[in-house]
Amino acid sequence: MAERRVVVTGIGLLTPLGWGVQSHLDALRRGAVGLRAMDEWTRLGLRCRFGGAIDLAAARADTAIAPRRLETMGTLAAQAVLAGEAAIADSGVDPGLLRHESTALILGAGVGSMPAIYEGARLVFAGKARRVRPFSILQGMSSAPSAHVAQAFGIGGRSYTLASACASSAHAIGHAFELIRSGTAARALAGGSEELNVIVAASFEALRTALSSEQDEATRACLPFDARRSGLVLAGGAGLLMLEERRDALERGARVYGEIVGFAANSQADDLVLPEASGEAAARCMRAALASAGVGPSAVRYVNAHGTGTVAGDLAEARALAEVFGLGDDPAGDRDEAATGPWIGSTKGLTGHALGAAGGIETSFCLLMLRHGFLAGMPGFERSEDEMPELRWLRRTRECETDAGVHLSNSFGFGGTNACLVLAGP
Amino acid sequence: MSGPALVATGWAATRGVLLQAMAPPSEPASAPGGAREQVLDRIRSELAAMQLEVPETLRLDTRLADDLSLTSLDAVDLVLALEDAFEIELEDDDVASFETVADVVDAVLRQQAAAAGDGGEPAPGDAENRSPDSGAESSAPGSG
Repeated sequence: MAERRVVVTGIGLLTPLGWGVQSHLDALRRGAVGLRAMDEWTRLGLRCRFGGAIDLAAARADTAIAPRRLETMGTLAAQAVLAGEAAIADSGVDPGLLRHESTALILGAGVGSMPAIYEGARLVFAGKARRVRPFSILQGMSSAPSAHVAQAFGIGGRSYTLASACASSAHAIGHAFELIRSGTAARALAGGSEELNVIVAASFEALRTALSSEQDEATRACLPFDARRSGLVLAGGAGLLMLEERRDALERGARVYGEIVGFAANSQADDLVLPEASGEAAARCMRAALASAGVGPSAVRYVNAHGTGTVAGDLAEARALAEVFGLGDDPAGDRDEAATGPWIGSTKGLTGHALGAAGGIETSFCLLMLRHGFLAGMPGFERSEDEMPELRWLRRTRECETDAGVHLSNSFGFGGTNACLVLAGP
Repeated sequence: MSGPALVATGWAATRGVLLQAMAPPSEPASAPGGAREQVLDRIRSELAAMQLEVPETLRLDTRLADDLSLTSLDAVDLVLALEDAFEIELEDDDVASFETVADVVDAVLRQQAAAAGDGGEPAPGDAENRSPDSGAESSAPGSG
């Protein structure tokens, strides 16, 4: 029997750019930057100035979930539930099918709800262990996103949350893709959620070199691949997608955003935080993903890079991209932009870095671009530094045909973990 | 958003305001109707603060799960709120067996009586209200 094909029929997005598919289409096309100054972080003594906060109230306004339920599940899970509700509705999948064991739920998150853990710990260390709320563990546990989504929509198949730091939801989507391709599941709600809060921000700031040092302009806070970049900007958000076996989707006349055609994951043991400078493992992961899709590098039209805006991470990824696409041989000092190869962009300059949710958000972005025929540019990008291989940087949003080439979405996480997804148009 | 505000959920903050605004129970548990009514009122206000729909006629025989749609966690959350409000601590075994509002009221009254050191005199209506099928004292003040 031929391998099953996997399409995406529903998308739920909650990011600093907005809520819902249409607001993201608009924001991506015009290169809107969703970052803002986080005054409360500044008051608490943090040096990083900008963050990507989401508007949870906007998403809550559309939901059928009772306020009490959203309140007690905590922000991390509530984001996943709201985005999941939107993805299910968007897909048109019969809610009754969700209860079937053929429906899987595979989510990713970098951390559980730190505020819930903190609040419980605060009471414990104040001698009030018996005052810890019963929801503390249900919000703080790593699987909070999948647990609450499963309960909210009555998911009947396997459900769990994967954790691989900033690659979590890319791994989740890749795993869901493999489940459907192998026939283990017929459909899957997949993606991820990440909660933005000052505890996570302080923890990243403790790494000293991870976060952007920009103090003045939100549009300059996160500058992937630009020589002026100083670090990543943390964000919250959720991106959930409904994956279905293609034949099922077509038979029921579903609207198809696009197809997941390849996935690969690997790791390198080098440094817990810093990427392998050569980018070799990342390059192998990209190649393996393309091989999984049955296409070569020349089929790739656009790469949604991991591109967080860190000095070391972006340089390593650029080297990996140059290696995969054969663009790294120009003599140093020649700063002419590569005229060939795929367009290289990162949407993190717009959204910030939603860690474990980034893969779900960016896979959604790739599919929206494929379906609607455009590529979202990097409005803050001017030029990369001399040591960085010169690639075909996507500076401005471009309109393009909907059926030309595939998109590659990269996600790399602390611990040397890599995940690459290959997406094709509908 | 300050540090504490960051971790205070909306309803928890609301509950905090309510706790400050409402005087602690001043009536001794030995005043049967008054004490029972006071606990019932408190349950009503806590349920409202928890953003749960409270029927106008919250009765002693109202069932927590079937009538109020309380989950097991909501019930524990209600217990926490009542423990804070009445400065008592309920027994875990009692909490696990709560089925009706009467069960909760009785557990609170029992602990209030114990805390008052009244020699273990059972709280009013204690024994007969333990069973969810006891008719739940529908004639008790405030239950209608």
